Amino acid sequence: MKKQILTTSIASLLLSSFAFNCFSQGAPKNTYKPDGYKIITIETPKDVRFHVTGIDTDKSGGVYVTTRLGDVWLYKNEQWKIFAEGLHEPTGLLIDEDSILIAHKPELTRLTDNDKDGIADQYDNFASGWDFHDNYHEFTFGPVKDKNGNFYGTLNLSHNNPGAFSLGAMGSAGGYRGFAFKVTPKGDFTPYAWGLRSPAGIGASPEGLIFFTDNQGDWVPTSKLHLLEQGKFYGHPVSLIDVEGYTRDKLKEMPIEAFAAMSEKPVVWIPHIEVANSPGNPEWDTTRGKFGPFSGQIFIGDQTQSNLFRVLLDKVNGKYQGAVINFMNKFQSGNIRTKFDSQGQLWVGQTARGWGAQGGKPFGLQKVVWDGTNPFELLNIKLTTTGFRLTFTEVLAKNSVIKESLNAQEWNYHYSGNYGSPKKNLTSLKLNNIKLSADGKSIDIDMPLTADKVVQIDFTGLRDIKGRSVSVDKVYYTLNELLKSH
Amino acid sequence: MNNLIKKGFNIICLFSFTIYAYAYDSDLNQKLKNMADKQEITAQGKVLFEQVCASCHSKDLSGASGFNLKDGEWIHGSQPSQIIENVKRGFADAGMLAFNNVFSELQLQSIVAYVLSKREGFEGLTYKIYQMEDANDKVISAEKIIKTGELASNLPDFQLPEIKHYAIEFEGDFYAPKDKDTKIWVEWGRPIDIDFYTDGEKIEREEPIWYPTWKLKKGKQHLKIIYRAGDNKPNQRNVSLIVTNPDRTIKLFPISTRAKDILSDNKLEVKATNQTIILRKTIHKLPSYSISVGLPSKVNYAFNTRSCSVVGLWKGDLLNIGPNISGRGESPSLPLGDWLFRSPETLHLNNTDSKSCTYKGYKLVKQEPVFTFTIENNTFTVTALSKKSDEITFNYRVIDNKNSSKFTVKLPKTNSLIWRTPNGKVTKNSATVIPDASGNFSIIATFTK
Repeated sequence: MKKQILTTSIASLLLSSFAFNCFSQGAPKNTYKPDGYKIITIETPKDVRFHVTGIDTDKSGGVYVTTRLGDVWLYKNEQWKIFAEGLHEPTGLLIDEDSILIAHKPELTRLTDNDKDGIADQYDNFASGWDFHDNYHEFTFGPVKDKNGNFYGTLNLSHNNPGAFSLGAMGSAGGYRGFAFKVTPKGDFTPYAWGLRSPAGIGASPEGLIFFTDNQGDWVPTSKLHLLEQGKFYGHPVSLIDVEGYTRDKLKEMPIEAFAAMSEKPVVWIPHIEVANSPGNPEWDTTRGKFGPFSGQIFIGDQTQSNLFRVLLDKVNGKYQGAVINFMNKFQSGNIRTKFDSQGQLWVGQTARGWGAQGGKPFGLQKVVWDGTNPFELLNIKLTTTGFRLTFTEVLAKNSVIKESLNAQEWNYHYSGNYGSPKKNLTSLKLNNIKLSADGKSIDIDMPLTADKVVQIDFTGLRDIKGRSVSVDKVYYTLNELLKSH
Repeated sequence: MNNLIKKGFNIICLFSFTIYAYAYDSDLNQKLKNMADKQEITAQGKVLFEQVCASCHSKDLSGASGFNLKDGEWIHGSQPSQIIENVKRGFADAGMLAFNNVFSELQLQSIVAYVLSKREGFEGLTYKIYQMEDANDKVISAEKIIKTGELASNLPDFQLPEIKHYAIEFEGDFYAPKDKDTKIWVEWGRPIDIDFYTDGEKIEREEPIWYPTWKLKKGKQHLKIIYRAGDNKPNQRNVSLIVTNPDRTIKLFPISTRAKDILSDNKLEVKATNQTIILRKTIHKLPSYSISVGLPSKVNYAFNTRSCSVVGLWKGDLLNIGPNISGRGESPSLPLGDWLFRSPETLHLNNTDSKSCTYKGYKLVKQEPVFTFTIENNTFTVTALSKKSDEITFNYRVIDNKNSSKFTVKLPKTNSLIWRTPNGKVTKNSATVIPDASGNFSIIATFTK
């Protein structure tokens, strides 16, 4: 009798815990941080509004940053030196050989220090083929560079702009708002792709592929990461006013289904609040192990949640899809920019002005460093024909590899002009079988798979051989496609 | 007995004096208020204020090292008689001189009249909190009042209620600018159930949905605000009320505690003191793509990268960039001086238009920006120098001139400037110039006021 009561109690506890996991969309309240990682705060120049919205690092250990106020600064040997000023709310910086490219609202500007006194003396208009209408939300993000020397950036839509065309919250008054663009090495501008909303982060993979993030809102049910490809449409319809064959009137009449059919699927959906509200740039860990075991993976900061999360790419049937998983939280301000330096440190540029952040500070600069300790975390997730293979950074304790240590659920999102979407068709998933690999680091989970769902797997009960539990116990896999059987 | 009589006499004297003083203050209050309505007096007061008071209290009275003199908060007394007394005596500890021996009585009165004429916001503000039945209860009635009071800050505080279902009413005399149309603006106001009444009449709510506005009358009026919390979330209940110009491009002053917090970051004045400053910001009344340049001589101009022309010239300090860098930065930066000309009047090479001009960038030469642009295969540079506070020289250079040896520069229509050129001839609204052997020519403007 006593045993039965106890069993029932545990079942109730598990049920309530599961119900909480299943239906809450809250941000994790706990501090999560892998073993061996810590945040270091960089002191920024006194009495300067130092909202860091662009970062790049040079080979000699210099860190160039640009700020929303319009400055460019160099941080070297723990000293700050101003390099340029007077720019129009920059949101991107790229060191390009002997000069620096800045993405700011009206143009991409190339800054050159001709007399080598450490201060830029030439501000060239490198590209400005889009229109900026003085709306506060018309940011220019980028630039990043591909293997052929071409540059890419993205153009934010406007908000509360009376002259703009809108089908929800955000609008376009034309001039390629809501577009991604390409600029040749000589500076020739081309509109490249469209359907973007608030694409606050763009990055180039080590292979030279371009990816970008977009922020949740109208026509973006939850934040997402896309592969950028020429001529593609990414879901927000108002930019179509600049595309041949569309007019404002025609767009007003088009059904949602038509936009949905044209839209590219994201590589990953990023669950709102739980992972991110306003993701920044994708940054690849190219440090070859200097930053720990996550080499080759993508790190992204979130401006609202003041956290970092990872993207685990999976190539399925020749196309990218994959998963997101939180990495670290409790940063001091809104994490909008991330950049690795040559020593394997991850620099994080921060701002919270106008859009609040979990971290209480209005702006700043921090970096994440790794001390060599091997953490116990999920390393990777890959789709299999019968479920998923989860690989961990450390050998698992065999006795924790039981079904009760894990649970799973799936859902999808509703695409519309409404501001974001709740989880739709939220369903718990039964795990059929779990099998530990020979090296003890991976588990194969057999479970039902349905395309076009986000699958969340919780692995709270797993332990490593040292008895450690993970700091982040949820991974979210965007299952655009199932593996085609050969 | 004698003592008693004496004491009684003293009491009567003191009483009489108090009545006399009260009557005197009351008369003076009324007199100064009347003077505040007389333009010829406030104009004199304005001149004196700007000469002496503006350095601490700001030219627009919004405060700097000294207090804000426009809002409803008066630390040393809000009555006109108290204000003039404070000006006369000064506050030595706070670094304010006593002005009783500096100005005549009439001059002092004109200064106070000017200050009173610039009054903004509430006076004698009171509030009432109503206990509502639930989130859907819309009915305001006297029996639901649970708390009333006065607000010495004269600033509505929407965080006063400590209950879930409530409505709050604020009421008082209200000073809107006398000389321009203004509106009350509720940022993110779509879900906010709020009504405004001026002199007893309900004001119509205007679009846009997310940023609704309500038109104010000019000058003094009685204003009542009723807000029903309904099912608003906690952060929505702390309502931001800001008085703006009609197109909402300038946030004039806050009329709620939250708005005051928001606007506290609304002022960051950038002034060129010992070197030229170049700033790219959104600027009120100037077209997009204008680069502002502040010269230490207190002369400022804006070069536009789309039209490759000078689209504005103003005297004074460069910009208050606060509105453009606080919050989301929705509002434009505000030029701090007086316009000599501005767009659509421009200074440009006659064959310049936005279609044919390509902006190349600028170089810093001895800290001055030299802008480069091309028009029909000709490359030009322009920079400006100003050695005196009443003159500016625009130095043009033609590089790789392929078409012409003679150029026309279209001049802005303005009575504030007299134009000349050492390289040709100035007619009414243009200058015809022949560049020298190096391709240089100059256009010089002298300020007439």
